[in-house]
Amino acid sequence: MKILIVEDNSGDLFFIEEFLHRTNLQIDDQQSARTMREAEELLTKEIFDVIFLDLFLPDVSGVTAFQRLNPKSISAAVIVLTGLLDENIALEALKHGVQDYLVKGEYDEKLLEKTVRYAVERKSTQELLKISEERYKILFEGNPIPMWAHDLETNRFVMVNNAAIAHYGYSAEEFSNMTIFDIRPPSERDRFMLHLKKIENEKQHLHNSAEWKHLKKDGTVINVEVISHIIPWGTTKVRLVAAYDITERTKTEDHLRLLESAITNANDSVLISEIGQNNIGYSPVIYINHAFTKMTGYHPDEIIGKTASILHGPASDLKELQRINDVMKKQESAEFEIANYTKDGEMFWNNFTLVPVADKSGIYTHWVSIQRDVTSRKQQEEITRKKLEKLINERTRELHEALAKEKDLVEMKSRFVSIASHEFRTPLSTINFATNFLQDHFQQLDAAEISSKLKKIEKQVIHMTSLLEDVILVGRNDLNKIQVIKTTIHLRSFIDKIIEDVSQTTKNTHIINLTYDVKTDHLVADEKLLRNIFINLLTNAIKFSPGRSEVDFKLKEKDDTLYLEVIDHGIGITKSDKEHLYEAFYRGSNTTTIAGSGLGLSIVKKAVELLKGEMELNSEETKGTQVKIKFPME
Amino acid sequence: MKKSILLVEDTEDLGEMIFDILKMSGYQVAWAKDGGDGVAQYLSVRPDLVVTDLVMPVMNGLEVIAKIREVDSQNNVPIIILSAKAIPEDQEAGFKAGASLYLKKPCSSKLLLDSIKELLK
Repeated sequence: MKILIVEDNSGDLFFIEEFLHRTNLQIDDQQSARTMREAEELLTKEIFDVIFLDLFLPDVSGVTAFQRLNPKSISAAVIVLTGLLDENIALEALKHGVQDYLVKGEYDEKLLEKTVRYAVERKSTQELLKISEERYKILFEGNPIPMWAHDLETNRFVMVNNAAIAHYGYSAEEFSNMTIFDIRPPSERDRFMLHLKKIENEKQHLHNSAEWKHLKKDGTVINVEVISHIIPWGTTKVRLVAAYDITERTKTEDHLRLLESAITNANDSVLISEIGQNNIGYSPVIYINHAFTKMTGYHPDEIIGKTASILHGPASDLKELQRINDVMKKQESAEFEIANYTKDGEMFWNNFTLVPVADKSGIYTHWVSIQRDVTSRKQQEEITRKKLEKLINERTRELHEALAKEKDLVEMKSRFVSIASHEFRTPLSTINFATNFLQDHFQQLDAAEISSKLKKIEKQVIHMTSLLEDVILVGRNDLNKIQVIKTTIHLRSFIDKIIEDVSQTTKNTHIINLTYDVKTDHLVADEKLLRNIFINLLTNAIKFSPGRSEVDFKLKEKDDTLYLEVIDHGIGITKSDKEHLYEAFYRGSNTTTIAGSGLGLSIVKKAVELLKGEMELNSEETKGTQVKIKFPME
Repeated sequence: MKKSILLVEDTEDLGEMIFDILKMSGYQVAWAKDGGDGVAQYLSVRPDLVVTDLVMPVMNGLEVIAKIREVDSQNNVPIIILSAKAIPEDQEAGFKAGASLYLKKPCSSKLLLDSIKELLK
C-alpha cells in the first residue's frame, strides 16, 4: 500500500505518521507533501492507494483542495484530515467523493486502521462499478446500431444512444420528451399497439419483433428490424431496444423478389443450373420456372439437383449435344435448337439460349437458360419444306417427262428417217425398175407381160400407201383425235379373211393354227383397228419365226370379253429391246436380217388402247413370243 | 458365151424385176432369195458377177460378201451391193466387207446395167 500525506502542519504530520506506524497496515511506501503544489507534483510521478488530505493548505483550502486533487488521483481513496471545528466542511467533501474523514486529535491507531481499510475497500468497489458503468456506456452509447430504452408503462424514451440520435434526427433532449409512438408513421401505430399488448404478457425476455416501419424526424420512413429486451431500471423495468435499419436490404430484397416473380411467371421457360467447380461440364439444376414445368412436365423436385440432360432422347441430334458440351466447357453464350422430351416421353423442339453468369469476382458460377417450345414452328417449317420438296419433285418430273418426250421425238424422228427411207426405197426401186423395163423393152413385150409389170407397179403403190397410213397413225400423239368408227362385224368370217390375207402376203411359209372359242357371232367394233391388230400380230409372228412352220392364233370369249392370243416360236425379243417395244420405228436388235418398219407393235398398242383393251407381251430371245390381248365385247 | 450373174434379193417383186432386166440384157441369171441361198448358189454357179441386197433373212448381204471373199479369195469376183440402206456408214461397211460397188435403191436399170458392163470388162 502506498500512502501520501498532504499536511502543512508538521505536528499533525508527526501524529498521523506515528499512528500509521502503530497500525497493522502493510505500508510499502509513505510520502508527504506540505502544499497542494507539492502533492500535484508527486501525483504526476506516482500512483497512491490512500491519500490523507488536510483541507487547509497554504495554497488551497476547503472542498476546492479535494477538487484539485481528485482528477490526478482518481484511483486513490482520499481521507480528509480536519479540525474539530471544520467537521461540516469534511461532511461536504464526502459528497464530492471523499471516502472518509478523520478529526485531528480525535483518532487513535485503531480508528485510523479501520478508516483506511474501509476507505480502500469502498474506493475499490466504487472503481469496479465505475468501470462497469463505463463499459456499459461504451456498449450502449457507442453502439453503431440505434438503441434506446423506454418505460414499459409510459412508453417514454428513458435513454437513447448516439446512433439513434444520428439516425432518427432527434436530439437527446427531444427524445426525452417523446414516446415510442412518435417514431412510427400513423399507419403503423394500430398494429404496433396490438403488438405491444400481445408481448406484454409474454415471458420471453429477449424478443425479436421482426419488421417495422419507423419515422425519422425529417419524415423519412425506414424499415427496421427490432430486437428488444426487458431490463431492470432502478425500481422499475424498461425495454431496451436495438433497431436495425433494413431499408436498403428490403429494397434489394423487393427488387430481387420482383425479378424472381418476373422469371417465375415468364412465358418462356427458364432454367438455372450451377457450374460444377470440379467438372464444368456437370451442371446441376437449381431453379426452373412455371413455364418450364408447363413445357416439360417436370416439377422442381423432379429436376433440381439433376442435369438438363434429363430432357434428351433418341431424336436429340448428337452433333448439337456435342456443341452444348463444347459451349459449356468454353463458358460462352450460345443458342441451340434440339429435340427434347417431356416427362411423358413426348418429343418437342426446344430453342434455347445458354448464358454463363459470373459472381462479383468474375468467376462463372451459373448457367441461365431461356427456353422455348418451337415444335409448331418446326412442324410448319417441315410442312413448308415438304410442300416445296413435292413441288420441286413435281416440276422436276414434269421437266424430265418433257425432256424424255422431246428425246423420244428426236429419236423417233431419226428412226423414222432411216426406216421410212429404207422401207420406201425398196418399193420405189421396184417401181423404177419396172418403168425402166417397160420403156427399154416396150417393143418386144406382149400385152400380158406389160400388164404384169404395171400390176407390180400398182401393188408397190398400195404397199407404200399402207405404210404411209401406218406412219400417220403412230405419228398422232393425241389418241382422242383418232375417230373410232364402230360397225357390226361377223367375227368368224372376218378372222378367216385375215388369216387368208396374212398367209398370202407371207407366201404361206407358216400354218396359222386357229383355236376359235367364241359363241357370239357378231361384234361391234372398229373394223380397221381390229384388222390392224390381227394383221400386225400374225405377220410379226410369222416374220420373226423364220424356219418355223407354225404359229398359234387363239380367240376365246368369256364374260363379255374377247381374249386374243398369238404365239410363235421364233427369235423372240431381247431383254434390252423390251422397254422400247412400243416405240414407233424401233426395231429389235436381232432383226437386222428381217425387213420391217418398226411400226407393227406401236400400231397394235394404240389400237388396243382405242378399243379400251389391255395388252400383255411375253417373250424370250430365241424361244419365241406370246402376245395376249383382251378387250370388252359390245 | 453369156456372162453369168448371181442376184441375191429377198424381196419377191423387186427380185423378179431385176431378174427380168438382167435376162433381157443378155445375162445368164441365178436368183437366190436369202443370204444362205446366195452363198450356196455362188459355190455351184461360180458367177462372173454378184448383185446383192443387204437386209435379208438367214445371212445378210455383208455376211454373204465376206463368205464369198473368204471361200474364193483369188478370184476377186466383182460384187455390187444394191440396197435401200442409204447412209454413208452402210456404204463404208459394204466396201469393208469386200464390195466392188454400192448402188442405192432406187436406181435406174441403166445405172445398174452400165455398172455391170463396166465391172465385167
